[in-house]
Amino acid sequence: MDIAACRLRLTDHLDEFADEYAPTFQGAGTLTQQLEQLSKVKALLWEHGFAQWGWPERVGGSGGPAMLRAMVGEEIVARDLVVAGFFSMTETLAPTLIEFASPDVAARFVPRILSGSEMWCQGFSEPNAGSDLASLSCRAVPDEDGWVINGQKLWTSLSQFSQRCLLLARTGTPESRHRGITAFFLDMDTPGITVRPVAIMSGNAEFAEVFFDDVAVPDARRLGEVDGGWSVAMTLLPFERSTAFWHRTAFLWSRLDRIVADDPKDDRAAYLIGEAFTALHALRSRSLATLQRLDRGETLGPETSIDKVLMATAEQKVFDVARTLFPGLMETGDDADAQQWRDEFLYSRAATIYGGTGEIQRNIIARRLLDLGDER
Amino acid sequence: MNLTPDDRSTLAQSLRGTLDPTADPLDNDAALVELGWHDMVESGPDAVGVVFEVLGMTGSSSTVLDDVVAVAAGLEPGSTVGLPRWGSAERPTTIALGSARLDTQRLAGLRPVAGIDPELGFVECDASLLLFGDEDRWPAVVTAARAAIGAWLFGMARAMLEMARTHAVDRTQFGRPIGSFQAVRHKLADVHVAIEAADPALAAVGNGTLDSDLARVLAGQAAAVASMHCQQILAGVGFTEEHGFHRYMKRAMFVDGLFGTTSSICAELGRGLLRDNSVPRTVQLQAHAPR
Ligand SMILES: Cc1cc2nc3c(=O)[nH]c(=O)nc-3n(C[C@H](O)[C@H](O)[C@H](O)COP(=O)(O)OP(=O)(O)OC[C@H]3O[C@@H](n4cnc5c(N)ncnc54)[C@H](O)[C@@H]3O)c2cc1C
Repeated sequence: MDIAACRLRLTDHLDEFADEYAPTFQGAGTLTQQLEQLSKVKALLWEHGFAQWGWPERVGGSGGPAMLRAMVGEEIVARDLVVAGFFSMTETLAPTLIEFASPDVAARFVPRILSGSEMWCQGFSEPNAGSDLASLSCRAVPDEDGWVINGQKLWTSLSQFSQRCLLLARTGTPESRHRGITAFFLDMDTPGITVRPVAIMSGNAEFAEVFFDDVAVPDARRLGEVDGGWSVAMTLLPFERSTAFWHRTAFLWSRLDRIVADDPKDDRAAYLIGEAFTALHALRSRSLATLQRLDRGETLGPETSIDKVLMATAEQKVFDVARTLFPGLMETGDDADAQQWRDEFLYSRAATIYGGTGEIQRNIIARRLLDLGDER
Repeated sequence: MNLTPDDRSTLAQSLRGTLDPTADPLDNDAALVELGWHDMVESGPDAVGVVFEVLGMTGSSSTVLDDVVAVAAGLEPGSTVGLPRWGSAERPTTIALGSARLDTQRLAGLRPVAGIDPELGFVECDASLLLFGDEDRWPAVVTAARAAIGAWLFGMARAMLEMARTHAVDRTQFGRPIGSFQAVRHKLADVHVAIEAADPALAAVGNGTLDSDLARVLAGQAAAVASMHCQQILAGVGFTEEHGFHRYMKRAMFVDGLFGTTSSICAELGRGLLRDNSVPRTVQLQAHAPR
């Protein structure tokens, strides 16, 4: 399928239905408004057949390369219709189901994610397992009906709004590390699950602590092999670092647009804008090359840590530049515009934390790409 | 002309066998001409990029930037062209930079530029002694020159990373290789990221001025990060005259000022966006790699 032709069809559609897609609020909106908007946009795209592009037909998609999804998200994000990070969660969740759930389970659940009728969350991190994910201790123990889960997850984004959770649990011995982890997906309304929302520093209760107390899960909700959960978690990565990253570059690009449109009167403006532009160009060029490798069927691996570092660098650069060129806006402003810049600036600080911290990426680059041997 | 990855590595291989880091610029020029340089420089930025990258990697001196300028200016390769003064991208009217092609014995009014990198053999002289081509070709000259200079700086950055990486593996302190210390590893990782960031941008310089400028800035940033971090990792030995590192670092400093510096081009890019009140989408989704 020709990307340019598809893009034209989509943009014509978005122009024609602009009023229906438009948010009903100004600026960033509240978290609830953002999530309602997200479901609305996804439902509209599904209704008009665009959310299906690039997904396999056996899970309700209409086929075609993953690059189509990169394009659809790019257009949606560039128009500021959704929060990029929320929209792109589909890119990691759906491929995991497609790869590891039974065909009928995947066919049943993937359309719900694509159409926005369900929200899913990703329960990986724990109080004692952040960067060292392989040390996680939330346990799943088999019983005659399936599995019983006990433990705690932390910083599970949007879990308080989610119908389902993709969970990693310990099924091996405590020392088994990545060899003793199994993946499941659970209904968030199962008895024994308690969600305690946690506000992020901008004030929105965007993630949560999730407690599991004798939570029963049927074996049909297992993804992949018993003790094979690590490879489930690892299949997420290439998608996070390709299609989802492409969406995020569109978000950053639109923010640089806003800075430029403001025409800041500052001697440093030209230089700082040039620097941010260069960082975005590096990111987009790299990201395109990664998407092309995915398109050719290549396996993405540790080299995507470079994409991750470039993404975090570009994101923080764009918002640092905004902060320098709009003095006081984020610190003293209270209108919708100021609020949005402030929230997005604060969120940009997490770019070096989630999805593997900046230090973890550099560890991977040193060991796997520069072949420096083990660290001490 | 577009080169395949195989073409590129074959060409790079033979260039590595040809260029001599200890030779005078004019001797390396002669060797390049024998290898078909005059055809390469007319064939477009692909082959030119490979030549400059290998010049950078091997630390060899040459005046072939003159030919890149000449061809873009509508002159014959081999012409004695002029370059802007260090740090500037303006077409010179009074004082210009000339290359080692100028015969310092026969011409009066030349000031040999020893500076930080005497081996390159630049001179400062009156612009009237040099050729610049038509005035309306100057923007194309800047674009072509910056693409070549980007590749040159990129090659230097790669060479510096390789030196520092090797040192990190070989050098032992506290009973273990210094490459096992995270502070050292992360510096090397940052250099690697900067180099990888410039790589796809350099592959796209054939698309025009904007791509050439962006690639040049990214390559300049890579060379700057490499200079800083690799020096630190090489420490005492990298501070000596015997070790090869200083030649790359000094050359990167000098070359950074040809046709504008990394920071002046960065500001130029920003001024362009502010003037047009738009941020061009430089990279578009497409199924196939440009290279
Ligand atoms: C906005 C946001 C959303 C998130 N959403 C989710 C989600 O939906 N689901 C989920 O499962 N998780 C989520 N997370 C959690 C995220 O994955 C973790 O925060 C991350 O993996 C880091 O773990 P940690 O915070 O425990 O930091 P730690 O691992 O404790 O690290 C603390 C510091 O030590 C450094 N460090 C740790 N180990 C090393 C090392 N070996 N070498 C060098 N430095 C090291 C780190 O880089 C960091 O600077 C989210 C986090 C954020 C900020």
